[in-house]
Amino acid sequence: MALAYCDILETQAIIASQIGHIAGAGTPARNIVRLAALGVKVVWHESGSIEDLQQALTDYAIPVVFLRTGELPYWDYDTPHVVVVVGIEAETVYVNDPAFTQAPLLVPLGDFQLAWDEFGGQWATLQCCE
Amino acid sequence: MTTDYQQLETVLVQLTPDESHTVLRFAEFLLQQRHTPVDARTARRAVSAWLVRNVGNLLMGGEPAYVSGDRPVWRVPVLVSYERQGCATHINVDAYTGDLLITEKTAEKVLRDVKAFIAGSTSN
Repeated sequence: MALAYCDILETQAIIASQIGHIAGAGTPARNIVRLAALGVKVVWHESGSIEDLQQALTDYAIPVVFLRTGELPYWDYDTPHVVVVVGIEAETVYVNDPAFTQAPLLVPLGDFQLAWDEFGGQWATLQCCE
Repeated sequence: MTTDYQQLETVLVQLTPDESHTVLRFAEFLLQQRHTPVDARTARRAVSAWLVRNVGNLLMGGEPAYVSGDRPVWRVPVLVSYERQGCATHINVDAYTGDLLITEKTAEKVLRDVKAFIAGSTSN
């Protein structure tokens, strides 16, 4: 999703191989920095805040957030997941969720923070290379 | 103190097995509340964050179970939700300090356990 925004149209298999994905387990979240080999600038963040996400959006970066779907109102299944944050307002976070065709999806700020806190606020920013 | 225990035992033997079980569960609950500064949710989140950081982003902590003893711990299931659903293994969290009781080899072990679970060779 975020890679497509940068006109990088690799298959899921190639992306999975690049980040060292293991079926069922995934990959350590910081391995997302390996996507830099595909031609994007990637910065990994051990933790973050809503203000950090807002700043990233201001800087035209793409915030990719690791969270737990059990806290998201539009999910009916509890699982680890990754979404792209595309906007933040006072009490609402707008996300693009690769599991849903509708975009963006609105998440109440409190629910988003609970979902994100589950994984210690881990996130990354992607930026398209010129 | 010994006398107190004897008095309690006198009361306990008059209870039905179900009632005794309830009393023991209540005692365990009181111990948790009074002596463990780290709650179950905090323990679960610590495990979830560690799993995603060090093992795999498709893993998370499940509902912890309190294990009393000289060093009480929260026993947190490592949940797999893709390929096959369930608990692949457990990670203990010190109920006093919140520290994960892991070594430098824990990440490798968890990954092995997850692979075995997905392959269907274990069921926890």
